[in-house]
Amino acid sequence: MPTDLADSGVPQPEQEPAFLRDPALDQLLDAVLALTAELWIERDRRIILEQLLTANGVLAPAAVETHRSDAALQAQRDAAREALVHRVMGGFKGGSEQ
Amino acid sequence: MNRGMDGVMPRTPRLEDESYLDIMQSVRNFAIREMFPQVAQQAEAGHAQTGETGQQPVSTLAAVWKRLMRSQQQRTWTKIADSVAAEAPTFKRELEAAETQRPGRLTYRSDFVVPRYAAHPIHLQPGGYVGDPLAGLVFHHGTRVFYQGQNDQDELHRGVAASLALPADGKVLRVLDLGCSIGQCTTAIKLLQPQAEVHGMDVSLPLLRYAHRRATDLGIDVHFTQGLAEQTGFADRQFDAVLTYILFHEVPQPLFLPILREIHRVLRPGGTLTIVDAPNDPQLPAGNRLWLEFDARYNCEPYSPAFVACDLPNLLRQAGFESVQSGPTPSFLTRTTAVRPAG
Repeated sequence: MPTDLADSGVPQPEQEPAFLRDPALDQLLDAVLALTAELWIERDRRIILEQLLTANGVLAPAAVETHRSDAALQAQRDAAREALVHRVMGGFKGGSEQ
Repeated sequence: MNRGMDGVMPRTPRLEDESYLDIMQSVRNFAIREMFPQVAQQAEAGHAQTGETGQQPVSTLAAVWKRLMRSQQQRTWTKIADSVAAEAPTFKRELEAAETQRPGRLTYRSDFVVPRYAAHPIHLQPGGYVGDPLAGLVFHHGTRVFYQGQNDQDELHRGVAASLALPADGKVLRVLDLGCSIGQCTTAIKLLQPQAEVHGMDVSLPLLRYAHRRATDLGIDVHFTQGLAEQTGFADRQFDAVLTYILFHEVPQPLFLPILREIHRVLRPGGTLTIVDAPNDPQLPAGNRLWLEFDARYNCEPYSPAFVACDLPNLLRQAGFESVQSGPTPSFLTRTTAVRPAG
């Protein structure tokens, strides 16, 4: 059967490769990419949000700049920030060294 | 949340997925357009020095390029796969609803065995094409980054369908899109050949279920069947034209000839085959070879180098085809056509 013959060349899963001299450099570059993406999705949403809020007269431009959070919102912001750190820095926990 | 459609492309589950795919596309553009020319130049210089192919010294720039390309691919898939998985029950219900709404247009058997060669995480998509029940939707979103704007409204696929070689006698009653994936070419062919019964076949049931749901939503009457390109199960001589769009570089080399023979068998005399795939070039420049080998090993494209190196026209003639012609397409792909001899 040609299918059996073909199956003999199937690649085996391998450890995450390190292209640079030190695996930490690979993780660092990966983290930069992740960080850039996180930065963009937030900025992209803010551009849309500020445009909508201004256009609908919901907020004056200074309202965000001068804002102080209450305890609930502060806790939400803290949790989101911790999650961001884990997403960006997660690769540094080790486990993919070669 | 159902965020609606942009034409024939569903919007991503969340706005942040859309932003994420956008920036990954920008990163990929940067890596390909602004980094790779220098990577290739260095590879060529190494090639000139050593006189060897495929053994270039790896520069730091090449290493950074590889890291970015792989990380971009991994993170694109992970982001969209996680986002789709978070709403899995909804998406699964939609697949089931399409099958209830239009029975008989999707054929598969519960005892179908997916060959091991097709079960790898192709292009680093988590679970590959067969290991995630929602692989079709994940694939549709994730490939937006790869196709660089040619995927959103099936632009590239419509072009491929328009390039389908047709029999000289003009009779086009049954067409097969072999390795049809999520059916973008299948539906595009039906729109161009409305008189024809158009079939799509693929090894992946998750991709086919999504293809079927998509065709149902679009109101395009095509048939999808799970099967193997090397053993389709179709009767002899029942198709007037067959298309394989980027199939061959995804199958192992020992299957090239058996697949071509199977296509020859299901085509009627005078029927046509159109292959749109990676260019065949055994003498690739060092820069292109570096990319090809990177893709093979680190982007889970293990079978691609063997296809690029093969003599496709000769294989076609061995399988019994004649009038073999090859030429470039508006994309990076090559179009090869052949005819099953009449009589």
